[in-house]
Amino acid sequence: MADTIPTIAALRERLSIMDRVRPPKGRTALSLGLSCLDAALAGGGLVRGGMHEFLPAPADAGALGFVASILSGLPPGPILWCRHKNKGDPLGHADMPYGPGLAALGLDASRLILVRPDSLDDALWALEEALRCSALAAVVGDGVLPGAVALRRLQLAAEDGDALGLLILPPLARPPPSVALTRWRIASLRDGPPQEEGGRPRWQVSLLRARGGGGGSGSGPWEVTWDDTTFRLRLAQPLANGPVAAAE
Amino acid sequence: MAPLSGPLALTLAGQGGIRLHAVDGLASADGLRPGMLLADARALCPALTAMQADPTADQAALSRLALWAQRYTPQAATDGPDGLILDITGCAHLCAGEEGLLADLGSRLTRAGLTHHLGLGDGAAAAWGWARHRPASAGPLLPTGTRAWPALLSLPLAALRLDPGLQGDLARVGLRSVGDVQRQPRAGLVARYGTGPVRRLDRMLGITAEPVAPQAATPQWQVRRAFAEPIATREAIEGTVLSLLRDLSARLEAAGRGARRLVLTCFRTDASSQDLPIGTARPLRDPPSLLKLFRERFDQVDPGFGIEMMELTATGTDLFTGEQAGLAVGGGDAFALSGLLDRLVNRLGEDHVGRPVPRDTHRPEQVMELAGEMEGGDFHSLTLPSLTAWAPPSPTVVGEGLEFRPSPALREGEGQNSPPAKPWPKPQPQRPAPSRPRTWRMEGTRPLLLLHPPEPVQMGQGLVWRGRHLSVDWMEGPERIRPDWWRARTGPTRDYYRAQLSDGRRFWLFRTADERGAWYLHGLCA
Repeated sequence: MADTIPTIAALRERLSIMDRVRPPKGRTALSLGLSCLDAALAGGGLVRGGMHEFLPAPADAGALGFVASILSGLPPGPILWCRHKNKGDPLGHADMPYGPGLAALGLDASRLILVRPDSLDDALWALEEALRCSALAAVVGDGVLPGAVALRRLQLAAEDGDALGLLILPPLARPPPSVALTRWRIASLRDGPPQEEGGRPRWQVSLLRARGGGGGSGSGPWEVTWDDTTFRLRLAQPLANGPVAAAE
Repeated sequence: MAPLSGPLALTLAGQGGIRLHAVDGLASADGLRPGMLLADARALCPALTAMQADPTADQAALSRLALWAQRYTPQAATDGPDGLILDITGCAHLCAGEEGLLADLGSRLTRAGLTHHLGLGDGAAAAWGWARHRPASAGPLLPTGTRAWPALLSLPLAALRLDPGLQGDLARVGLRSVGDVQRQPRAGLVARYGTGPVRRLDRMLGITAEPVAPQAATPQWQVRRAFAEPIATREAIEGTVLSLLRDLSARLEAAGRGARRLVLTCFRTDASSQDLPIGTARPLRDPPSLLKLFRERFDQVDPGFGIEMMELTATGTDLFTGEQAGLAVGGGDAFALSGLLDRLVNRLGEDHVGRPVPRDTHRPEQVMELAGEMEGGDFHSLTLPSLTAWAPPSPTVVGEGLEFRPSPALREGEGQNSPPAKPWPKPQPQRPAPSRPRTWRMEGTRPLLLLHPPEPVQMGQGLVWRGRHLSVDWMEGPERIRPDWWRARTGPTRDYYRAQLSDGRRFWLFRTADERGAWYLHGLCA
């Protein structure tokens, strides 16, 4: 009996690798820069070699800001940003992320390679090609909602290229299930007026799913804010007591 | 349309009415000739079907045929409205001699359904006259040198290709054939009719040379493959392209060069051809990576009834810089990256891939510019349509309320999804390159997403955007942004505000600082 438990554990491990249920071991992970978020993930951050999805709220730049703040922690290297102008996207005409705004979140837009395909097929093709390229620090699909098969292809491409793939989905209330490693929902939150030490970017971050289970510290939601003096994320002070209490 | 059974003629509006432009064999047998009035022709032949001629399309088809004829010689050109001229000097041995070439050309044209008259002579003028006016019993091939003279001198006067007026004058004095003209004293001919007839005669008899201006300049880097049987499958095409790339790569390597722009030409059995251009960010000559670039375009190949020859031309080459891995970290990555960029640009188009670079200007919509990737590290700026300066629409449009109207500049931008089917234009800097700021300037709050063009909103109790009423928590501002004083004024000064909505979203709004004071939404902040 004594040696059966490790055997079963080893078998489970092998099965999970074959089923691709868990994030593969031995991959490096990108820390989110906030220990409570990292602790919620099995890999201790966003694991390379997989896709991670972010669900925004309609006409809200919160998910974009959260992704930009994560990307600012990447080691140097170009980032491919593929923005697809979805027909149902309420911001269909805002056709690119804006450099000065990204710079305020610590992401140098000069690192980006902006790709603006005309069709979803081209967008998926470009993402797949990019995920297999070893020279990129990360690949972002903005406004791209791949089907089940397409997402599977992206996931396999990311595993092949050991790439970090991020998808900012179109704003959907009920997104379809997916094989991505993690899925997050990001929404902007109110903050106090700038005259009273407020006005910072402030997001509600919830981990909707993490493949292979989370790290055990729950799935949020967390209220995080961008600290523009230290240039990193931190947990937000509760706003319930008003801005005066928050400042103390 | 029902298939034609009777005689057919093409017509054009001519002097005194509609005249015949071309007739088919049946009509010709009924005595119809080009140049007749259509009314006369109908009297001669009541069953005639007459259709409108299209000389422009004819000319375009003829130049396509001339390009196709480059399979025999690079020196192929159109000649007049109905002729092709091929300078086959040094090329005939590839088709087993001149007879072989004529037989091959004739059978291919026949298979393509084209009626043709061939003639081969020492010079262009002799071949022209022989092809059009030789007696029915004679073959298309003329003897060389002066042995061709008896045959040429027996040709009718029209074979000299003189102006119709001049030809009429000569005919009126009794000169009916080329030989008649040749027997006249030259001095007298020149004195009465100018140098025209004499010059044409000398050219025809090979006494003076006549150059052929080919249809397109022959490129230096060209390899081709002709097939015994026409090919149509993707595998066969791919295999041929790979072997062509290997041939070309060996020649490029010997010269120490790499290809920047390549054109693959597929010659089809129906005597037409198709071009597939690709471009690369740095000189390349590695056959597998070049094949990868062509693969994205193979879907556009239409083999029709089969491709009988493929030709690969490097229309642009550069000195090859070598494959040495850099000493710096990620030297190999740079090559992986430029390979990826090549594939992206070749499939999506040059306008759809770019790197944001900051620009020194006050206008928020022009602060970020996209630099094209094809020039490697040396960015050349593509002024993107969506980055043109936005000027407020006329007040009447604003008065219509919240209706969204894209500016003409944006609409043009959306229409620009034509495939990159042209060779890469040599990038021309559109203005003397200004000194670029290296970093993004951070002053005031800036949005993460910029709406272009700005969308009109109404401010009152809260904010109305796209017909929806939104309540505002607080507003921060104003930050006054003036137009660039060093340029011609492009619009009013704007006062920018950041507004937090009650649901947490933050809008970047501005109000024009003129007498209208109109509000616009210009972006979304984090």
